[in-house]
Amino acid sequence: MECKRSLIGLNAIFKRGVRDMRKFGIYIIMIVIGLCSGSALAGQDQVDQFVMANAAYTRGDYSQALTLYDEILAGGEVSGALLYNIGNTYFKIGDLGRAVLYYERALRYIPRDTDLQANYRYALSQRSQGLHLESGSVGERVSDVFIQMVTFEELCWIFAGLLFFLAFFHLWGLYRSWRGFLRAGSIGILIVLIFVVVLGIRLRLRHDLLGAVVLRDVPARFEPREDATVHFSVVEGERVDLMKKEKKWVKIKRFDDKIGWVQSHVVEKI
Amino acid sequence: MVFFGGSAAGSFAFAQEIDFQAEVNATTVALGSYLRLTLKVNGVTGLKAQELPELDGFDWDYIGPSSRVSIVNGQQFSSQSFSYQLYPQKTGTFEIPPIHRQIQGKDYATQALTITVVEQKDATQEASSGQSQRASLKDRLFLIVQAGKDEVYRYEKIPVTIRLYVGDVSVKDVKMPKIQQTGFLVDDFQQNPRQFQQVMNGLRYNVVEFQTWVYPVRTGTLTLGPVTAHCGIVFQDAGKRQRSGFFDDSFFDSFFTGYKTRPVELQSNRLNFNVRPLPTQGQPKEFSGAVGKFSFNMSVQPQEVSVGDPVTVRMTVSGEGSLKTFDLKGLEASPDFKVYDPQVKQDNGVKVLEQVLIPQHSGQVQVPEVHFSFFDTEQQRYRTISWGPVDITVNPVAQGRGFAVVGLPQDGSASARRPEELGRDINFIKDRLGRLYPVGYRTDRSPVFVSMVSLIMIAWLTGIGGYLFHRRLRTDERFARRLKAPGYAKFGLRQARKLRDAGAAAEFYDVMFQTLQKYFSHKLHLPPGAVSLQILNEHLTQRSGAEQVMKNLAGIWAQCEAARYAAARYDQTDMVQAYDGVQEIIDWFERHF
Repeated sequence: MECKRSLIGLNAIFKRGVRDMRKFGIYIIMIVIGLCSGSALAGQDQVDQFVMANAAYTRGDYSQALTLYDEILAGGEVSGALLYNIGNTYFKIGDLGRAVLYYERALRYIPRDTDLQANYRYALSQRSQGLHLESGSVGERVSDVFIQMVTFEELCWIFAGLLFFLAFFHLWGLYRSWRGFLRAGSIGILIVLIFVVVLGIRLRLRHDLLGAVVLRDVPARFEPREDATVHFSVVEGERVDLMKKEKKWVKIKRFDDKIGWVQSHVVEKI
Repeated sequence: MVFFGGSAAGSFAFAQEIDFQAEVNATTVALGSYLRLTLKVNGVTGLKAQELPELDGFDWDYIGPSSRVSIVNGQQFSSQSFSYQLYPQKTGTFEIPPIHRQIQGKDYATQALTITVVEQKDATQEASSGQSQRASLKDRLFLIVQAGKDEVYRYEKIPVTIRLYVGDVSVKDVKMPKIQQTGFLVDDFQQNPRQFQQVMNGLRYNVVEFQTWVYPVRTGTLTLGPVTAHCGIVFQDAGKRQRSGFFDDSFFDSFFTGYKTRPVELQSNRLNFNVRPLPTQGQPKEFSGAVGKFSFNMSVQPQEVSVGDPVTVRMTVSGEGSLKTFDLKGLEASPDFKVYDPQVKQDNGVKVLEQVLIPQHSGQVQVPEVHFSFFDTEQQRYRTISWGPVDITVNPVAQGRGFAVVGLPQDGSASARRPEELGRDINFIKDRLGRLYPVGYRTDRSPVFVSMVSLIMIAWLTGIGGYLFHRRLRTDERFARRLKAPGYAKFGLRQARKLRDAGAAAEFYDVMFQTLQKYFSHKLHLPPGAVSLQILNEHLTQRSGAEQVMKNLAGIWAQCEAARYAAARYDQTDMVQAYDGVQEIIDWFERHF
């Protein structure tokens, strides 16, 4: 009988332990959520600089605006709105290639911003060959969907969230003895979602790491030489993949998978 | 556990008020085996386990608690269970008396349970399985049909409930039941059958409840049923997968299916009804077979039209009773109206008649009065609801009015309007800087993200490990007893030390002996009475250094027996030596076993 009492006592201690663990878990989650954001709130200096640059833009002093925007970038921090405004400024001074480049960069941070999407499309439509948004491969088209919908940071946290839910539902199913099809169904759906998100992360990474924008209309050649045969031409603001760099030349791949060499100063990484 | 296929999915319903129940996993058990008794408290949590009263014919052991909290429609339901193992001591039929418990100052008692203890037929089989004898499949899976009443009128609506009781068997692919229905009209079953748990004769059943209504169409004595239902019983295919080692766990069952399903057909009881004819006295001439309680409505739209424009008459009947057993009659043609054939629809418990009338001349015309009669089974008399007449103002056709195309402006302004010319430019700059990120920042490389993902993975693996450990504790009795052994030893030694310090030699040696017996019983998975020096010696023969331990043990064992049975006198020094000796022996066992 004494032993039975001791077992009951052990159970009470165990329950108290579980309660303490729960409290501890909540603290940990609060701390992690606090640390989750990799971004920082805008400091007063940057805000002042940004307001001054916007004022210069508004009165039509685009070179002054650009200088002030660049100073904020030189501080080592960047935001979607800042890149969008720089893209606008380049558009206004007639540098369509850099305008598209900065709009592409801004898409990394604020992909769902309708102003940005409109300006990006309008800038592309002003090129010598007009608007061309069709991507060559299915992968690139899927990539475009991810790029226009979510940021890389959001994808990462969605992945972490899905992983958490997968673990949670799996353990919940184990401990609560869920029916087989319910457990398999929920876990299956989560695994499919994780697969889709991981695919999105891959595509997004590929786009971010390889993507570049052509700054002016130039011919792409078969070899990295001035006198090499022209293979195709790329236009100002066109997005290409950077494949290789050799001295003053870079190997690029166009949307239709054509590969050629252009001088390195006419393309800039996104 | 019940699995559903097709449309037979549903939700569980739980009792909300406090109640206290006892249930067992079997009502017949073999001597030498055990059965599980669970005391369940619904509506309260945070209770502590209670000790059972003396049970005639059984020894018992407390296993542990479990609790469950669920939220349904924003309301919280909770329950707490305490499990005990009952070990039969002799054969016969025994009663577990009502067990009382004070909950929130009020006394609650469980129902009494009757348990039959039988001789074990095959000792070898019993030793290997350790399972209680089970009741037959009919006791674990059966179908019951019930009706709200058995004295009814012809066409009267009768609620019928079909309950599928599922005991400790796994069932899947439960199909909708089929009713043998000669002489009855039967409604479709309600979607999403209700699921709940019910304790019958001390056994817990998962119950799936199907609800429908039937309407007798003949008079006299009619029989409904039997109801048949098909489902599949899931059983493990022992020959399909030989589990071993790491994969020896049900955790991997979802990945390596080793189950088979055997289809079964269940048959319910039959129900007899005495169906009376409807009274002929006072039956209205409009009566067409509606029995129950109905409401009747009529609308006429529009009530002002031009000659030749359509007027729609809509009659609606809804209420308690079959909509299939009567007809709705439309209006008949008259000099005032041309009448089209009525359209009758029946959906969601409403019968609707729609009929188009075309006024033939201008002036004030009347849609005539309509009647709907039904037999009210509550008041046991016929009732008639009337609507109308409804006045309609019919205007003559306006002079010069012709066909007009709907949607086009009449003044022809659309064609005169020119498309607006719009300029295009980029949208204006942003006036807020927004959130700043370090240049080159990548979330997937940030310490916070990496830590978070790692934390999730560690928690996941820990959870799986905990589940496997907990499961083994429940299923592997040897393992569970081995784990408990040091705790018993520690507890016993603590008691012994108190007695030693108090100089109570007889009690000291008694506790020491019981501690050793309980420790070895759990450590070596032996029945408590089977622990003896000879048995222990058999277990120790293969171990190095065991001779000295056995020697010490034999000495202490002899001291204990002498103190207990021969009233030998031992002083404080002897007790200290015996206490230290037992500690060393237990330490040695913990290191080597």
